[in-house]
Amino acid sequence: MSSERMNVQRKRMAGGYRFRRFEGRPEPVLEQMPVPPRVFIPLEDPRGAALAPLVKSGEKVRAGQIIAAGEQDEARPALATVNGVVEDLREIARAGRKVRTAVIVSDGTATWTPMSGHGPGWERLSAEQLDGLIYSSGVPRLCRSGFPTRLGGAAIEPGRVEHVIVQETQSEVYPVSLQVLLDGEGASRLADGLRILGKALPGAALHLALSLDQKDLAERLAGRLDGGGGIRGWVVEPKYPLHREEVLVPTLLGRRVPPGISALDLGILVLDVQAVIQLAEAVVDGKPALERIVTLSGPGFTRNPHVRVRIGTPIGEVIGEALRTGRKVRVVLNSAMDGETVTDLSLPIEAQHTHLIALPEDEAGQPFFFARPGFRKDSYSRSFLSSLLPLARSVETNLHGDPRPCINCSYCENVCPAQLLPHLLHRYVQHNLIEETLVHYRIFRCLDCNLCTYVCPSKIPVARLIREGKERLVAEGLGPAQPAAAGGNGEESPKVNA
Amino acid sequence: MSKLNSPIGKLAHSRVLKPILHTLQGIVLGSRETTVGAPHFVDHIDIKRYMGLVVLALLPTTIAAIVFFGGHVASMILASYLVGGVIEVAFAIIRKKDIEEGFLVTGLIFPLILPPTTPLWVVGVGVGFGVFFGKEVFGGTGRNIFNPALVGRLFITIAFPAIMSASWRAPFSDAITAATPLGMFKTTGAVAPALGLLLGQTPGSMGELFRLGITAGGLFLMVMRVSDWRIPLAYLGSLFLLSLVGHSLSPQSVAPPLFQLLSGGVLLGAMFMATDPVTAPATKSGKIVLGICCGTLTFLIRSFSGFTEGVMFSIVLMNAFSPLIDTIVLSRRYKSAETGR
Repeated sequence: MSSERMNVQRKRMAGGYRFRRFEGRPEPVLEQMPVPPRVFIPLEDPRGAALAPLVKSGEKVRAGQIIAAGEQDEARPALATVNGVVEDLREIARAGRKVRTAVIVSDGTATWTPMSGHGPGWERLSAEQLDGLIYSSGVPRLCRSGFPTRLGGAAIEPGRVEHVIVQETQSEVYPVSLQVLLDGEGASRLADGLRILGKALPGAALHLALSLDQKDLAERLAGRLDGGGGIRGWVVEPKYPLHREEVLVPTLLGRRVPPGISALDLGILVLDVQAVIQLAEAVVDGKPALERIVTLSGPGFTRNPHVRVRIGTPIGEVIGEALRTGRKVRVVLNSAMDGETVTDLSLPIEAQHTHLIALPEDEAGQPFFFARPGFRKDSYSRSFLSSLLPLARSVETNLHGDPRPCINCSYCENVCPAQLLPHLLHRYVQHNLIEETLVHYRIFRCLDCNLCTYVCPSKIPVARLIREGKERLVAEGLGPAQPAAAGGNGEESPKVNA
Repeated sequence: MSKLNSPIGKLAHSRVLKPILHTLQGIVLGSRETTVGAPHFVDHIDIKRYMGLVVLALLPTTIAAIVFFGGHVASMILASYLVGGVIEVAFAIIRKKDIEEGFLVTGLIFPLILPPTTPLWVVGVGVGFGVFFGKEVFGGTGRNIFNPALVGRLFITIAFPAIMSASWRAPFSDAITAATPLGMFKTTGAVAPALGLLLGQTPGSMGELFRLGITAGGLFLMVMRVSDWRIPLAYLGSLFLLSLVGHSLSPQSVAPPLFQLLSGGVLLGAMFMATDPVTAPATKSGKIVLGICCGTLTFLIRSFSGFTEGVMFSIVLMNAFSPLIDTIVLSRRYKSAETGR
């Protein structure tokens, strides 16, 4: 026991903010959605590069079949997620640009063709066979920076991965329930997944980062690898935005991720628990990454289950009747802090989606709001009774106050995960001082986490102003210096898409 | 908005009434604006509550002042709010902006740092000068360099020295005296007992006396995260240490450390005025520097100058240095920026 304890270390991030107990938190319930009549698969990489279609409209496809691939190494093939017929390859407007999308009409069957080479005997697979299995399973699409294999799927070669961090830090406002992910086969698949990572990336050190209240699980899984290196367990206080690799990597490993680079460019692969479970399902059960567990979070839904859906299902169908009626509701993707508003419910669930969040729009405001005890009001200040009470805190879109000039209260500085001085930076932009000084004050280290705007008593859109400052600096040719000092060579610098 | 055409509608949209009505609407009805994009929801704290908490924290000493000195104190507070309020509203109309809440604090703190027998017209002149020259000419709350209440106090100290130096009174007494405990120490070397000072049973500015209540209010603000603990700690800590050393070297000119903390306006100044976030340095280490400088200046003025009290001068002087302190702190902090780390 004591030797296992040695494998789990506690770490604390600098800055950040702990969102406690909000109403509409996802409940530990999993619902299976039926196979949708149609799925929409964008034929592009999660990073935005177009993929070449391998099917024509009218062609029959199987769930798990690769329907588009790219020539570059980092291209991640797109999979059909239902059995059926390609109805059309059409351009669909998404976030202001046209994306070529495969529309597949499902035949209604929920089966999938197991991938070859899978099974409990996967450990006997050669490294190349294992890589092939992972590459074609759709798993690289689930991961932010992809998954390095010998066939591609990420920007770097598998041999260059030094660290793999598997995380579920619960640091978002609405965290995914680990209980749901680990239910049934989940727990053993997570253990399998960690072993598969050990074999697929033999040169890398494995890390598992969970929140403080998952300490027992971290202790059980840490150090469990037989042969090769072990797994280092970490527990962290679930402060937003610790799940971001720019924060997680320096907090655990003490290595900074410079602006404009991903952790993977430094040889550090960050995966979430769900992706690792899906990796194991692919390798052990032969099941390609056709599905995704997403939550219906926030008080804008009548209930807050986790839902297992086929990737490509239109968001509107996932939300279904769960959306509250009779009240204006805003639907947001992935995060209430930095997610985008969903304006078109016909857009599909994509491989990296984790949350659908519905927040009531509140344009009415509360009379004498500032003088209320605030039993359920969240605040960085401790000035509401909510800080003493265990009640779920309310969530709606009201600003809770009138805009005022900045008074230097320092709240933004205290929560900034990048140790910036947002109160200083936003003033420069407000006064149109777009100059070298902002770079000097490390404006490009800003992670766009939006915490500064969240805590501001003067209701100033601090983060938006900082973002504007960065954009204008880049436009004036004062963008971040190329991270040559970061260990990589020049060609590893981030690619800018035209 | 068909109401726009009615006489009431026109009045409501007139240049004069709009800032007032919009401010009232913000108070009574609450905020009607929502977030635009991410973050989709925000904290519940706002400037009204923020400033309201400071007023709340000042209540113990305010009530004590009324109890100690009677109705004239209440009239002084009303006069201060009235004159200051008129100026604040006038500037809101000129700027076409909402009436700013910072005035709630200035309007209360200003009378609290006056002697309890100050004539009402002097209160009016002082608060008017403080709000106008201490705040509005700089552009209003958030842009002022000096604490407006202290600017007003400084002005009437210089303009009406006779009134300001001869109007001290002990609580529950009608006798006018010229001697506060700090003055007594300077002339006779007598040190007032700590308990009397804590409970405010000595002459002094009316809001600086009930030191138990001031300390409780100051701690309340720190726990609420409204004021920064660094400034009071550095201010009071440096004053304590310097007087500890100074008193042992020169007991005639330097008062003992505990007496230093419990006399004059240092508790009120350290916990409610030096901590004003607008006029203090914005950086954390700058706040510590400010506190230490205020403590040192207060120590020097009290011990070695013709004045008995130095809190007001220290804070106003250091307000002027806050931007410079920030500049130095920032240049040290970002010295290595070019090298990337």
